[in-house]
Amino acid sequence: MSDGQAGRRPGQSAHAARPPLVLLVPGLAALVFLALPLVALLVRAPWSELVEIVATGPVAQALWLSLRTATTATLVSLVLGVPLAWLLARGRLPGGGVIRALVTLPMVLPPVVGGVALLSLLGRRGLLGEHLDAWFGLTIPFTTTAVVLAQTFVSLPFLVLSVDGALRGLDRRYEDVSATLGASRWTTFRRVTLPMIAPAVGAGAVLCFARALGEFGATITFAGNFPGTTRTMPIAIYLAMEQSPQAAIALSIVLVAISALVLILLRSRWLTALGSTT
Amino acid sequence: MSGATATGALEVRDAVVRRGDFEVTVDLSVAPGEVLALTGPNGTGKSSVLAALAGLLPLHGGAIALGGEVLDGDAAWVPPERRGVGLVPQQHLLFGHLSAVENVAFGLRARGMRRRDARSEGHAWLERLGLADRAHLRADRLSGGQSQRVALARALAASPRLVLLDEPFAALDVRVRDDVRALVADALRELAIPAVLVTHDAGEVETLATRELSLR
Repeated sequence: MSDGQAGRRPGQSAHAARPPLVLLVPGLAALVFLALPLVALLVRAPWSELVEIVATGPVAQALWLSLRTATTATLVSLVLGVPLAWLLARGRLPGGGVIRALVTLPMVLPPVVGGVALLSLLGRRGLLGEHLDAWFGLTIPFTTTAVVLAQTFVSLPFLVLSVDGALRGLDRRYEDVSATLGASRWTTFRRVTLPMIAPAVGAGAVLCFARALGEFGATITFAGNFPGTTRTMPIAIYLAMEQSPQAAIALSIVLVAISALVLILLRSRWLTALGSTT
Repeated sequence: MSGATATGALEVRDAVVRRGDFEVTVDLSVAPGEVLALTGPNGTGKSSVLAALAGLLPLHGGAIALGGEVLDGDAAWVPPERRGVGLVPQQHLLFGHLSAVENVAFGLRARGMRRRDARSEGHAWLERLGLADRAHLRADRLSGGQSQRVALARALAASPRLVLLDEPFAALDVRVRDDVRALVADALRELAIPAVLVTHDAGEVETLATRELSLR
């Protein structure tokens, strides 16, 4: 990560900074391709009825459910993900590379596959679900808990990889000094390590929340589509599209607004995190 | 200052310190109140020897004992957090997110002292090192010289049984260097613990050390 202070290297001339046409044209095309759909969304939005649509019972219900579940998934990811990142970065686990690949897998896996996998484990006939049902009368699929689990499954890796990277970039000598001052490994983690990687934890949590908020495939597969309990915003948008595209656009605008907020949070925190660990 | 725990001499017998391909064997002893200067050209393993004494680098042979307790060797191993060996590293390595006084109080807090008591002790040390007015500044806002003095206070405030100083005055301004050196000499005399000082400065060996061991 170069920064502004690095300055221009001796070999870098003003000429080299002007992009060649073969890169400039496709580059600009890519930019337009990314921006134009969002512009269309903003242009087509029924601005005058926006508040009315969003305030209706079903929409407010879906929005509230989405915010609640995505927040819970983020908190679960923090509680489980920070320790996992520590184990990856510091635990000297045998086969650490394989474990890291395993953690990354949900990021590249199609979310719907994640949903099927969760059903195979926790479904009524699932590996674990069968016993949960028989022993405790517990059924997880198609509940709000299932929504949170689906969201956590796909978003946890974002947090783990962000924190793992920060931990591996951290100067170990601070932790060494803490130990010589009599601090236990836990005290060192709590009072030295965690505050030093806080920006990365924050950035990871924000990414995690954004991913959880947008979760669709794993959720609809594992949790279904029940108003009030499992119908999150992305699912509500998909359904609205069939009946009233205007409503779908209005709902999308709400998610765009939340995503923009996330991006602002991310820019202020992620960049500082990268700056402190590289 | 809080009462030091039972103190005694540092005894290092045929300690094999290894880092990567590099290896050095050390044999030394330092009595309480003594300051041993560890000198020698760069790359002779001075910092690695300190790391071994602090418990950050396990020995590959020989033994380290402090006040009769074996810290490393003879099938014994005491982890750094239970050694009571203070370290003042070359770069101060202050905890940037904590204030100056929180840095100094860190070791006392880690050993279970109440926050208020640890802080007042921290303030006393900062005052002694001429940093009373910087107590509540975040450590990453301190100047290089101030940071190094806080690092000294942080190590000494934890009442170590042995203190290791890795070129602690190198980053200091010439104008304050003599003052701080005198303060450290006083503090070491008062604590009456063994100290090992890594230095390149012949004058420092002269004024601060009671003995010199040159690695090569």
